[in-house]
Amino acid sequence: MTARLSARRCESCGFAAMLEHLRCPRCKREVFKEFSISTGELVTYTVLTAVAEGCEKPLYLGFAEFEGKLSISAQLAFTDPAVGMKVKLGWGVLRKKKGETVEGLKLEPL
Amino acid sequence: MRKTAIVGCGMTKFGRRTEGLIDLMTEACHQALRDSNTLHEDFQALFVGNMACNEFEGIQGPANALCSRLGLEPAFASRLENTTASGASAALAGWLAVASGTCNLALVAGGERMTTVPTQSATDIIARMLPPHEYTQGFTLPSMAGLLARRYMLTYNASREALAQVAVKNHHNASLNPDAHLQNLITVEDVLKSPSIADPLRLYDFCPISDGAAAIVLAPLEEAAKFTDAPVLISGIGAANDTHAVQERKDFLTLEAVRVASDAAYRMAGREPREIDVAETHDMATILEIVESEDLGFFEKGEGLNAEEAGTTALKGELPLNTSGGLKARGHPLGATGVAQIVEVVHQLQRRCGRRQVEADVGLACNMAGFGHSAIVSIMERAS
Repeated sequence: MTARLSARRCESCGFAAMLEHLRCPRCKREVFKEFSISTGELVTYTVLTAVAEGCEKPLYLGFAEFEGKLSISAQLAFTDPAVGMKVKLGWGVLRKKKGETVEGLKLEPL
Repeated sequence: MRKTAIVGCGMTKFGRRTEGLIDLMTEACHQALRDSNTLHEDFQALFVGNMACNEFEGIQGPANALCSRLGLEPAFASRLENTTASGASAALAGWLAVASGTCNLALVAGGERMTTVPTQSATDIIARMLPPHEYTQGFTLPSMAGLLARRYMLTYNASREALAQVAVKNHHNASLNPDAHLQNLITVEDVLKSPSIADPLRLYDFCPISDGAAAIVLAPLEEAAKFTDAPVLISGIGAANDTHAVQERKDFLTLEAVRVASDAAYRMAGREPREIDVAETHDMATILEIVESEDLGFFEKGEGLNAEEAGTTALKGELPLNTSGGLKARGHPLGATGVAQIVEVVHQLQRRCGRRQVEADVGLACNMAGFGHSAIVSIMERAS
């Protein structure tokens, strides 16, 4: 499943983020504009075997850079990662928290 | 601002301890009080660095408990919590209190007891310092180190064996430190054969889970001779934060908080990186000693690992790093670490380090919160 999501870009300096900020951490202005997240490239990844409570192991985690200088850290929905591969945002089960299954963003191969 | 000196130090042995957190901090403080001949002096403040005694030990208000145990009343006592930089945050508070003239004598203690919970629970408690998005995804502090290590190795064509050398060096240093948690010597092969934790990093790339405490006594430099014949001046101190979410960093290979905090510390001390003789870095994982050594200005970007391989950072090198064994082998009881780093630098400057003693007149300690969320850098110099 492909997730259609948006991020926010600072209108003054171009800093892009998925998380909310009252002020831009770089230029300190407070006007942001939403934009759609498109495709990205895997910058690095790790295979985590010492996982936190509620996570299945091994856990594949990665950082990807998306168009517009947006970086996203998320679980990988695949087990054959390579730095430089093209990815998109997907959705899936992340972990259990207090017995509840939590879903969220995942990086998928393009 | 008044010139402020460290006039006494104390530290427990790090490792698996059976005593409670307050007992451990009392032991470290008692040593520091004796070391500074202040057992019968009036203190105005006690600052306690501790990250998670609520979760690890089920207690609240450790500063008030410690103040009472030490009989420091009516000194003001408060806990400083800044995740893994709680210790240096407490030291910064103590420095501010004495340097500003608000206090004349301040006691700083850092402590954590972590072995009360299983390893997976400790990993989870620590991971909760990450932004909710990263925590929910399952990111942990070791996973961030694994991501950084892979990117660093690719960018600078660095070898896995060279990174393992950091662990070998720090175990060697710890083997000469009676207070260190891990005192066994290891080889590069041992590191590479240890179980994978956060690929490409393995078990021996990471610090252990430890209990322990450390303490320092701060006084105005002009009064330091009343307490010790070997005062150590805090000539520079700087602190900074970076983005909470690692994904929002300008450059994944730079710890910006370390860079900004150290710049401020160098400016205050009137020193340059090349003038530092010995340093303690926040090597929760081997890769962090390398990246910090670059962002502290000791080496150019991408050169940290080459310096390690060349022996520059070994005990007999030009710039010994983590002579105590570092977080990697001395141990990393979260709230204790920042204070323990300062204690090691002070002891090096005072020529009290026995078989791991190096030639040093100016030293530096870098304590980091989380994965570079925050950093506090202190520069210390022999005052006599």
